[in-house]
Amino acid sequence: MTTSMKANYSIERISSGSSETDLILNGGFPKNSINIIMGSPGSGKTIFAEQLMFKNAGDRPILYLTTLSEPVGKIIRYLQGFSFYNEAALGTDVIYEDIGPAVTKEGVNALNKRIKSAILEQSPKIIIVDSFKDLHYLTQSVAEMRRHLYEFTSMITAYDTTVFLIGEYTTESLSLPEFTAADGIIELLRTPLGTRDERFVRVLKLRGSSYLEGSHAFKISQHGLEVFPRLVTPEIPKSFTLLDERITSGVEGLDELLHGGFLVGSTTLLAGPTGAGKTTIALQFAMDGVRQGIPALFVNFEENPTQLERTIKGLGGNLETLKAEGLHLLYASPVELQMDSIIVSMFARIEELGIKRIVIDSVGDLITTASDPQRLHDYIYALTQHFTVRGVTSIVTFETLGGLTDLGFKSSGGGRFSYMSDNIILLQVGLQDRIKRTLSILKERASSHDLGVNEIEITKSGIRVKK
Amino acid sequence: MERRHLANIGESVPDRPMVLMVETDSYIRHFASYFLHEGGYEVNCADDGYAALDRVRLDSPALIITELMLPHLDGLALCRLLKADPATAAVPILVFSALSADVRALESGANAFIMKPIEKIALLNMVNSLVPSKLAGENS
Repeated sequence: MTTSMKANYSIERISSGSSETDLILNGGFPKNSINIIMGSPGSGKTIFAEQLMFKNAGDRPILYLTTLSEPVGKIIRYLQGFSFYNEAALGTDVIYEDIGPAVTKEGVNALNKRIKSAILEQSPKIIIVDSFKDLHYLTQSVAEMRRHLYEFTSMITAYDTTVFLIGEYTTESLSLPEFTAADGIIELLRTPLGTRDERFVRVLKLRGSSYLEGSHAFKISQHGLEVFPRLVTPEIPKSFTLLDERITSGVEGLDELLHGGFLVGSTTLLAGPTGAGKTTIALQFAMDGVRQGIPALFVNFEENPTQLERTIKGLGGNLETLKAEGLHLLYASPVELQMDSIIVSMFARIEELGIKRIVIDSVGDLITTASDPQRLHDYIYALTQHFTVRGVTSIVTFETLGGLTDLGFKSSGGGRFSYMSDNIILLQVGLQDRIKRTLSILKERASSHDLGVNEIEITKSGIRVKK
Repeated sequence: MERRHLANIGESVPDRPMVLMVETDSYIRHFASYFLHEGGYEVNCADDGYAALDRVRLDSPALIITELMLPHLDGLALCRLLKADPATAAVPILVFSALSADVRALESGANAFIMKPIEKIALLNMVNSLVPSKLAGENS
């Protein structure tokens, strides 16, 4: 008999238990790999492993071996609060086992004995060892640990199983022998920012696979780790061409100054001091789209929904009617704002609702919430590129502190964003015998535009350019 | 070359179909032998191609499982020699390797290819498909 069986050349993957983390890992952890999950206490290592474990339950058993860290009873008690927990899988598909007493008595060799018996008797699909790092305390020398590790990796490599070693490793730990043996290294970070903590996941190594580099924010919820992959600049399809089509701004007189309205897919930075009319103009832009049947998204960090409703009412609109017609609001408190999560929500809505006009009010709030200015800069750049590729026309508001010399951008921390915008509209407020508001177009990419300082006025139906 | 009489997997049963495993990795030999014994097979091992050629004439195995990367005489050459010899040409050969070399293996005379690392059920299913089922079935 001849059995012609073609080998599978592509790398098979083990899901991390989170589709977003799988995206970062280019599909998941390569099957049959040895991976390290490292991080400080409370960084989410155990939850990461358990989420992975329960999402992969079925087929062949998954072993969670605890060594010298937490007792199994304690781990299971906290586990039950998560949505991924499945009691039916416990003891059959997912097996927790405390080998602490055995390794305390016999040393690291007890782990290897258990791995060998597990392979022979249980055929585990995944083996998790928590904590692997603590096993170092049971050896007398690095050489001894290396010998145990060699035996461990030899067994693991021989059998079809994927291994996760968990430990409170730090960057100083990277010279430990298990890091040389590891195919994948995932670091979970937790850093304080003001009154809250920021959490990030980072791939340090993933042998045989590409992955999304950099720090990706995550939060821990009842669903486990909710990861927000870092926004990267999109690849521009070869077929992509910039549209010459223009759309109306919704502000009387502004389209003439723009010599025909905004180009589709362009990003406009609408800058000005407080009270200049940025939110009003941005709302007019969104509402104008909705009235033409174009879905719009208003992302707002400054005014809560009640305040925004009042502003819309002041413009002669009705929030409920506008919502029914296609105006979508996304509000995030600047205090609780996590840049990555809001951007993920934004994109989900753009895709889901077919959004073609978007307002971000304001980008300055993102600056105050971002711990890393470079990261924010990269984010905003990628964001505008995504808008362009999707044909989404956007207005991003930015509050300046004043001063004509630098237009307020630099002194307000936003100088780096001006060049990323296709258009820059500057609003100014002058105080003489009366308050005088003006609008100037500083830049309109790929188009001529008005060069004047134009007075604007606020009317019952919104802002308009005075003739 | 070693004959597997693993204390922890029970005594060997001479009437079982014999599998000759040509493999240098001690853990793969250990795990695969254990699973094959559980699956109703007797296992003999050789750790290079020439040793395998000697062994195959002594044991008359029902199946040869071989790695490709072997010292002295590699797995592909072993396949070609076994298939060229009328005395051994009828013995099915299963190549198992970490190398994605299924085409080369089949071209060299192997009957089937399986990727490493091994997994119990996949290994036994493949072996059972290559060894006449009545032999394994009667003796397991």
